[in-house]
Amino acid sequence: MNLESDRYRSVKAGNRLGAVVLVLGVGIASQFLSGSQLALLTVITIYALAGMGLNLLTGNAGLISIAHAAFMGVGAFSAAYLNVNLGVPALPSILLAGGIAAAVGLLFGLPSLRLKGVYLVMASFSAQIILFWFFEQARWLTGGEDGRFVERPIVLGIDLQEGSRYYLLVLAFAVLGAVAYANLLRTRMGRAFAAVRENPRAAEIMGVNLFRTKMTAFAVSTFYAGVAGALMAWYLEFVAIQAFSLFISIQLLALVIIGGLGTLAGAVLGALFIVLTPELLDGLALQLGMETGQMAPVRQGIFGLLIVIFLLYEPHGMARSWRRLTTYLFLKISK
Amino acid sequence: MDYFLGLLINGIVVGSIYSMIALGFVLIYKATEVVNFAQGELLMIGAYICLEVIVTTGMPFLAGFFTTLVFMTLLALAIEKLVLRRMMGAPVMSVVMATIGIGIVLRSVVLLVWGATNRPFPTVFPREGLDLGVVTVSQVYLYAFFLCLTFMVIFGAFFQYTRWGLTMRAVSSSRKAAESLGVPLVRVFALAWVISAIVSGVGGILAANISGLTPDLSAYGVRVFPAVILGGLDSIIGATISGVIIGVLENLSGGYLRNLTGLSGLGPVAPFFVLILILWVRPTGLFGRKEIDKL
Amino acid sequence: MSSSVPILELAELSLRFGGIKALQAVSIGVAAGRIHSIIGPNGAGKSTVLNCISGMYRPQGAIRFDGQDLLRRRPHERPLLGIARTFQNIALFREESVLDNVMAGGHHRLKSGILRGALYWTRFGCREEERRLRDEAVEAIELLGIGELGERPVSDLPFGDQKRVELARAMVSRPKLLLLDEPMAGMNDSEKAELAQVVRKLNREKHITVVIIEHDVGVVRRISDTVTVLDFGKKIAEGGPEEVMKDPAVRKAYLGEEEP
Repeated sequence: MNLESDRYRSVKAGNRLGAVVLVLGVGIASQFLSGSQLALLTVITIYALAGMGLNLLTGNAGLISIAHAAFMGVGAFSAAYLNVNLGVPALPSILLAGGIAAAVGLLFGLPSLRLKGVYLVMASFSAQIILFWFFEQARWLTGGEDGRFVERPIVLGIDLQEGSRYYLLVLAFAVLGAVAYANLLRTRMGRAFAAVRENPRAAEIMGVNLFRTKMTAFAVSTFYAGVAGALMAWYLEFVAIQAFSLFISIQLLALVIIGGLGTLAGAVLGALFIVLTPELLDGLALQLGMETGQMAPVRQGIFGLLIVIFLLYEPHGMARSWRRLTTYLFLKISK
Repeated sequence: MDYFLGLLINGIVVGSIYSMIALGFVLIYKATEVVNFAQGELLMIGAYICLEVIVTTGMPFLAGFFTTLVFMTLLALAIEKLVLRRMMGAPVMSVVMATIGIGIVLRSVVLLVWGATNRPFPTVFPREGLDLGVVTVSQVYLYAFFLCLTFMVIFGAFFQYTRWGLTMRAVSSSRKAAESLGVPLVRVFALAWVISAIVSGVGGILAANISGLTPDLSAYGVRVFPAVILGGLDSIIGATISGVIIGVLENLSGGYLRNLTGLSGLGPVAPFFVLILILWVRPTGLFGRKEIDKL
Repeated sequence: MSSSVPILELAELSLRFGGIKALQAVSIGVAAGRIHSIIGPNGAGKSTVLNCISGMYRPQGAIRFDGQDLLRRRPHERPLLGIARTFQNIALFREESVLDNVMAGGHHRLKSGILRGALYWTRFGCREEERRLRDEAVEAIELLGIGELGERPVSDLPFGDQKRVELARAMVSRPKLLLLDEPMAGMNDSEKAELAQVVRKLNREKHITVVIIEHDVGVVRRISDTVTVLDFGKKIAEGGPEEVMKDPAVRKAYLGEEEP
């Protein structure tokens, strides 16, 4: 069309190239990282995947959820049960786990579909409370408060005991998730999500079935959470239900809001932020010679403060700053 | 029978504290459209301040009580001015997240200053039982109940009869209309936060008197959610009655459902089943008006 | 083409908001292939009529469109029947780009769901239909003279351009019936003339029946085949533009305000 559009397209192509380089780089680097570094990378990648799911719901469709850790938990324990107890192969287990999480997600999403704002917050909060209580009770599934052991599977004949090999499986799912997410956003359903978020009335007049669209957003979002949960279970190997508590749900919500609502980069940057901030703060505290007893509350307090500061000073999240930076650099280079 | 009555009375008393906190929650929501997730932390910090004043200065309880109210006022003003006022017009989730962030900060302050261990509250109200004929009730329960009742009546009168009370009701029924009539919104927002923090502080002190003080007291903040929804987010009466209903429900299900179902921990969870059920069946709550924020 | 078969029939529409009678037994027949204006003072119920047709309100009475009982259709089903509209107060998806907004108008015409969306590039993916829709959207915004704004978020645009985006979105819906609620508000005379050209072009070349609400009497005279005049929720006159403008009741109720 015209110049502005050409520039826009080349920036987009640049982003795509950057993403490919990032994935390849991370994939190769993961094979050489130390155990603790690899652990961080794995958690970041899994959270990024869960974050994409939550971002689809919250950032794109405008529906809030404070229960995504619980939906991850549903996926985690479903996959563990299917694979370890019932002997279902790993890959089908992961996908089925996503499906089960989606079914549960729909159940709790259903009442909130007619509602907005405060009611939605309440509905998803209840989902978190009820599901976590279920995890506590269902010892046959979760081991209750003692937790349970989940043996890492053999996928396509490859033993994933080795952490760096397992990471490649995680990365593969994250990349698939990211591609699907990006594709969804630029096609019909992505536009429908945005329409429902921005102006439900007008969306309806454009022919968007609000009920079905919101249901779809819930289902896809909780499917992502379920898959991420399944991957988390095998990563942890020993799964305590605390990994799916209210606090983790809050962290996931913080992830998408601080990372950037409604964007893929937001999910990735948010995951980096959520996982690395506590690590950096712990490192700092050690340097300062702080007692370990004090570290936890200080870390929490700074984390809370950072959330508030971000909301006040960069309400569009890290993705916005990131895009400004990359666009600037790209134009600089391409000149 | 005694067991039942004990649960019932405990439920009513805890429920009356819920009512007060629910009132604070609804007040902020109606006036400023903020879903306040820091309500629980507000009441927890109120209780700690009161305890600190009594224990370290040796002042009588009433002095501690009023110091707490002053502190809560200042805290509420600070939160409103520094954070929430600047977020007017931001999406709901961002505002929710901000209150969660504030809650996390308050909680970490409490952990740093007072630690996580249970601190017994000094005996303020006599604990001896009072024979009511059918059942004996600890006096602290009765004090708590009547204090809650008093505060609710005071605030009910405030909203019904004072100029500021009427202004706040006007704002909560239509912010746009009130604004066009020249109502000073900023002051109304601040006032909503102050009142909400004060009732939370009182609720915190009473709850701590009954069950001792740990950071877990902040759980009260979310335990009132079912009461808020049941009450329909609308009326003070609704919030009051629903708070008591939820308190009783919690205690009765905690007391009986374990034996009936073999599942533990149903007490605090049961109200959330009710919450989901209400959202399914009658999202306006028991007392809410017919219309609702649909889309 | 200029048959007088009504494609849209409003029969005895009545609607109350609380104590206010927004519409009182309003009957309008819109002939296929025509441009039909609805005029009247503010608060006469013009937008209310459009809102009833597109399903935002549920009035008493009956609405038949293209042989269908419209009141039995849910709002999101109406675009499928061939109804598209623009809004008086602009109802765009503010944070989305112009092209995404316009493409949203094609929502009901595409079939792809989650899976075909996610599999964009593959054989099962929806790349082809997405591309066709995109081309159509580009064509629409170029016709309206805002082709260079495609990638911009609509919230950045001035009012007049937002109005154009709305019209483009409605065009991409490929309607049989196009409802325009003050599409020329905030435009100067030459912009109005251009837009009137576009509306006429859509009407003549794509055989789209148009119902338009417009305040500018000059524009109404030039483009309308038929004019309906509403006042206080009642129809007070209907007919060809010249004939209606001469009607004493119309002059009193409506034109009286502007041409004393």
